[in-house]
Amino acid sequence: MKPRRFASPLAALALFASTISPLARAADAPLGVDWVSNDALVHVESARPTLLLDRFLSPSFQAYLGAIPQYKRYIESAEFKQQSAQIEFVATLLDTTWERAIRDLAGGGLILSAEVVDGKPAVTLILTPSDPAFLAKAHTKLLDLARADAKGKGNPDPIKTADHRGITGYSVSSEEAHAIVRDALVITNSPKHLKTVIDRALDGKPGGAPPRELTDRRIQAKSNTDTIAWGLVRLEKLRALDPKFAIPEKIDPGATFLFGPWLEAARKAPWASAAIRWGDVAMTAEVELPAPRDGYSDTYRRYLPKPGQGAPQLLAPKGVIGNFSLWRDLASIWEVRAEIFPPEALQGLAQLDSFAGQFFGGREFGSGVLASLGTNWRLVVAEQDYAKMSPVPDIKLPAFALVIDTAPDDEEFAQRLRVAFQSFVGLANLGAAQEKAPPLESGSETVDGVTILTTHFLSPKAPAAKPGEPAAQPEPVHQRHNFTPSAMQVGNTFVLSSSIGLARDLVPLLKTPAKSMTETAILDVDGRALARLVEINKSRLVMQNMLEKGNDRAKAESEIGFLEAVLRYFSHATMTASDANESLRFFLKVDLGTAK
Amino acid sequence: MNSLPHQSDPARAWAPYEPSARDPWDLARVAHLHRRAGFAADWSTLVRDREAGPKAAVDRLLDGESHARDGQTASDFDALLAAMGSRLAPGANASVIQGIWLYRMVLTPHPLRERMTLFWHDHFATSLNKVGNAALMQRQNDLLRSQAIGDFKAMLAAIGKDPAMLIWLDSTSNKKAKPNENYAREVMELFALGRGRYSEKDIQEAARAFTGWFVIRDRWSEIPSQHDDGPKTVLGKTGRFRGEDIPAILLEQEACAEFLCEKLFRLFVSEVDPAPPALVKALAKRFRESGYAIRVPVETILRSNLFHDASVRRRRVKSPVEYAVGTVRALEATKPTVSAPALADACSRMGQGLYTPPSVAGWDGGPSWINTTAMLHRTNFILALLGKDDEALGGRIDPAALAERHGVAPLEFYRDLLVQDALAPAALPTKTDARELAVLVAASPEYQLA
Amino acid sequence: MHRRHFMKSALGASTLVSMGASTIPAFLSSSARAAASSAENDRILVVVQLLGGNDGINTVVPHGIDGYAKGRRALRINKNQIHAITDEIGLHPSMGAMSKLVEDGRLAIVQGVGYPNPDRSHFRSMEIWESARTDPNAIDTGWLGRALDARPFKAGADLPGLHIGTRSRPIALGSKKTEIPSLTTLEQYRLQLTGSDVDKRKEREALERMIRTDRPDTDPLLGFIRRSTLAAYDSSKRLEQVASKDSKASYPDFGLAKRLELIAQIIKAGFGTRIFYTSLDGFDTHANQLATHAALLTELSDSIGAFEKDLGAAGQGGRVSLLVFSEFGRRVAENASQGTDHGAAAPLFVVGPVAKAGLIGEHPGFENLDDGDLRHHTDFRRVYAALLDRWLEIPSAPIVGEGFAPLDLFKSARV
Repeated sequence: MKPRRFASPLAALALFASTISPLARAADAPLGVDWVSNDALVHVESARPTLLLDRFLSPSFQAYLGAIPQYKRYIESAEFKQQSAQIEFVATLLDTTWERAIRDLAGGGLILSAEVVDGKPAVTLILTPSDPAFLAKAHTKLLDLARADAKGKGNPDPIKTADHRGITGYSVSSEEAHAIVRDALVITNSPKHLKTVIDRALDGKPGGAPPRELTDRRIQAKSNTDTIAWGLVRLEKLRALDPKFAIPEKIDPGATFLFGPWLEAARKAPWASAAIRWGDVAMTAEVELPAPRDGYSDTYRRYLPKPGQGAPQLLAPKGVIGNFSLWRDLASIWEVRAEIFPPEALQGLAQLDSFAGQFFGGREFGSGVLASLGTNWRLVVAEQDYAKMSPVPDIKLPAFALVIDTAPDDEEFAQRLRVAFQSFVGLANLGAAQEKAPPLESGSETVDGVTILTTHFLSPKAPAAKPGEPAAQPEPVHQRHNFTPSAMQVGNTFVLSSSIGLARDLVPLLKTPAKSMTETAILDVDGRALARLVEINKSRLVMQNMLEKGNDRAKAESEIGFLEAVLRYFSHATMTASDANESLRFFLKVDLGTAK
Repeated sequence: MNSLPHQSDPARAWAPYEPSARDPWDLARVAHLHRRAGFAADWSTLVRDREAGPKAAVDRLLDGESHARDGQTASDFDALLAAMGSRLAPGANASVIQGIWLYRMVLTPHPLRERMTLFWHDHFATSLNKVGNAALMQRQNDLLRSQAIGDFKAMLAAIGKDPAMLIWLDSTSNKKAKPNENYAREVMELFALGRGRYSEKDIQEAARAFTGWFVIRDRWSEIPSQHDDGPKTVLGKTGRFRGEDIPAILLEQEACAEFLCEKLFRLFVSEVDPAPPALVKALAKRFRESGYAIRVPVETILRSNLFHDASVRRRRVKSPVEYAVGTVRALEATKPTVSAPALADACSRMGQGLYTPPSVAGWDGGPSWINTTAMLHRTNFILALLGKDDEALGGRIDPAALAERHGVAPLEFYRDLLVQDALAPAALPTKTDARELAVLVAASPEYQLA
Repeated sequence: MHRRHFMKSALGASTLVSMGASTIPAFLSSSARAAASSAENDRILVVVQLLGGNDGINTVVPHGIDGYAKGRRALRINKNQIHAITDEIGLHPSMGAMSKLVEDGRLAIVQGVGYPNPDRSHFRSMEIWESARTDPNAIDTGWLGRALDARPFKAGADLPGLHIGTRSRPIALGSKKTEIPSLTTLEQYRLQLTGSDVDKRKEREALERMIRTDRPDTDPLLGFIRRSTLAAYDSSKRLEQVASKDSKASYPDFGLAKRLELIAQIIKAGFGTRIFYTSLDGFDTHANQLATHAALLTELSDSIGAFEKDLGAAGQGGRVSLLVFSEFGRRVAENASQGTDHGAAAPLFVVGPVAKAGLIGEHPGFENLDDGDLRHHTDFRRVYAALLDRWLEIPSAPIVGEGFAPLDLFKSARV
């Protein structure tokens, strides 16, 4: 039992550390804060690094890890066994366990700082032990060990020492220097920088009181006991250090269209901060950037909701898988398209204008179409009631619906939308006829006073068995039968849905007008629902995986199983973007479930 | 230029080859057998079959191995591929159904059956580009496979009712008032007899026999009221023929077996030497007398003196599919194997998109596979397969480890595995790493030939 | 042509002997290649197809001809902005670069081009133009495909034709003998060596050495593959060289410009490819046409201008001609959505060393309309005949049919 408990959390730590190593290795110590520069390129703090360990060791996360085949393979690998034997050996020498050792060494906090000195990075890592005596003992023991090892091999002493103002510094290579300063372990990437840190520890903080962007974040982190770590990157310095971090003014038009002001903020913001929290039931990450100092240009201001405005509230029909909700004034952005897009993209837009004219009776796309559409955009994805479908498609796809608010008093436009829907159906049928595919049959139904324009594909005809011949095996039903494209108008809201079922389910939800949220954009995904979708399509996905990746069946099954487990564990995720006058915030929250 | 041995001595040419001191059963012969009758063998198979002798080696090709390359039993593998075909093909794009077939070729326990299915696909060439329905193409492929080394009579009868074929030849509505001659023409010209072995009148009369055959909602159907039940005269036979009667009339023609045997000669013996009529006639006689059992001429050729004569080696240009699949198999990129859609795209770039032959006459084959673009793509395929950068094709083979696993030095290993005695020793550097050796051998002109 | 016959013709004994006869050291000398090409016609035809039916009336604008102002109200082009060719006719304001080509004597504008009983379906009309045949069942080959078939493609050589773009291969390139590939980037034409520049060079050298090494066996089939492979590596190298020193050629950031740039690179690299085909989509302007059409013509004109400049600077202008056509023009009268609907006759463009620049043929006029559309007076097959007979020097009659006298677009014969 003991080796197992030892093996798995440690591997988890190694696995995690390799992905977010800067965070995993860092911590906050109140005294260390004064030993690093206020305007370092990167500053990371963790007041309770051991929280990470606690979360890793929690039964729910361990159960999740147990479901990952890659992780299992790592645990069973010779490489891992060798590493853990070494660590166990050292822990035994120190008369402790590896877990205990970590808690004792870093329990008091962690700080990681990267400054730029003479164009080169000067890195400082400060670990504050909760048991200073253990640090001293471990340090001595490890030095002895290294020296004894070198001596045994006939090598010179591998550790150089030097005193600086009464504190002994140690160095094992030209790129490492460390010392124990006021009971804390300070590790740097050069002896010169170690001296600087020691000077600061003895003489006090350089550059006066810390700036607000640091203190505010520290206070925030303190107020939330689930904070693992937080950090701040000075984008200005980063851009100056390496131009590849600067986002060019000219960028893919699609990205500009979608993320306009956010890219602008990333181009101009002096810093960005991030915080990671891990609680019992959820993991969150938050990124914040200040708005450009001189504000957004007129063009980008058009992307920002005015006070009281925001993305419309999410919709939760039966079996909802995901929601995307966005506040965006496309009509206003359309007016300044020449400033956002390069000429070749404008040409595409001009064609859209021309195309829209055909479908909307000559209306101009900006003032005639977009202006009638309002600012509330929603995309809903939901599971379908596959058992009740007829015929049941072999691959089971979810239903999608685009939900758009329209101008309240433009009945002519609402009508145009319905006609446009019917034109599309006609066009699709024309294409289908050329492809010899079955056509869509149109109809309509009324739900709760709302008329839904419906369509469905004609059902495939089962081949009739001829007398004397065995009945042909039923063939898998084409994926097109997932779709029964529908459109409807509920109050001022127009809905274009890939399936009748979802349109029906949305009717009652749209009877009351959508409330505005404070965020600009919200993306919300239910991992469990996605996992169910993976499960019902599993045999197909396994075959696709075999073909696309060249895997054999066992490997393909394990990869799809892993995907399912991940989705179950991250049972629900929400990502939001909020624009305020002074800053831009991205927020990610993942609810944790179980892998099974 | 070599000329074929035993040109005018069919008995000698088709007599079973017996190893002798002069013509030993050596690696070059084993590799030749697998190149032609399958898609190149891996090292273990070559060594095994060299030990087992020619009879056992050919037996295994004719009957198939017990296990697929992914370790499944042959029947489990067939069931898996049947499921892939029926479930993934509907609505799929070209590279997906191409991929399903290539995945099968790469891992198949029965390479000769796949090689022959490919032969029949070229013979009954039908293109997805026009048919537009991948499921129908897959169904046709299943049909061709089911009789690939089986009964040509049954195959010819079934292909006439195959929806993909009929859509391809615009023969989906054969009305009494306006018989469609297209299928009647192609079945004589390209599928059974060859040009000049029938008259226009034969086509017109046969077309009347096919009246009443329709394709309705992707299925073959018969509308009796549209059938012209008057008497017809086709190739000298007269009767109130129906569509089902036509194949039998074609098969009675001596030209039929000869036409097919000439194609088999080109497939297995030589693409560049004209097939000696005496040899074709003798082979055709056996084929006809067997009642058109495809296995008979195939087996005759694969066991024959002529086939195993050193002079017929490399008298064919590998088609892109033979080249790509053969290389993947020989280099044991099987666990995991390459991405099947990516392999399909690579074959298309080299000039052979499965299910999309250029015309009803199939691919021209031979030297027409070769042009600068195609050669560039052949080398690029090898570079991708043996490199690490291409996620879909590369990173699956460790050339040094592969040679080591078989206990052979890299230079000898890649030469003997891929080209045997064909590549001049001076063409390969002696001091270089295993990967470069593998690349050079697989990109060599000699390796482009089968 | 069927397999049997092809096999005989492509690999008849004499062909094989001649392939084997070339000795190895000389078998890919570039001088041999150059000598061969100067003896033959090495002219190139580039075709740009405008998809959707270009509004010819607002492209080559007959502002001074009675009826223009009446048919075009919202879409009328201001006379003062037009690039004048004659007093009555001028190019659209966006077509400055092409107007310059008229001045340079490089652009012929053939007016009133079409065919009898015009079909107003995009698909059908494209089929007619691309196959150069009016029988709907005869679309298995295209006019350029048949031109390629008429001049047998030497196996082992550079492909004779290329389609540039992501659209599926146009009917025009449908050939019985050669599958014309579609290309979107130069990458697809290059040897994909990996690693550092040194690694790449070493690997390329190793490959070339392997192929060049003398073989004791003189099997002609093998010799043929060796030549073709070396030619392939050589092409790839030439393309890389052209691409690397080509940063000076400045093309605007349009899709068509990028495609033409690719074509220019292949031409400049000395490939044997004779026919290039590409297209520009979006001309089906049923509504809000003014801005869309202006943007499309900017793309067309600026792209062709840059292409011509690039080829001229490389000394290639004398052997490259470019044809610009669309499946039909648009109606004379604009519709109620500030757009135009499918029409019939329209002008087309031929760029290159033309006999006479500027307008060729009269404007069809607005008086004698065919159901509201311009009437053609010049069959498009006469333009094709000129390009085939006079430019590519491939007899046109078997390709476009009898009775289509070539237009006098080029000085009659090559000196």
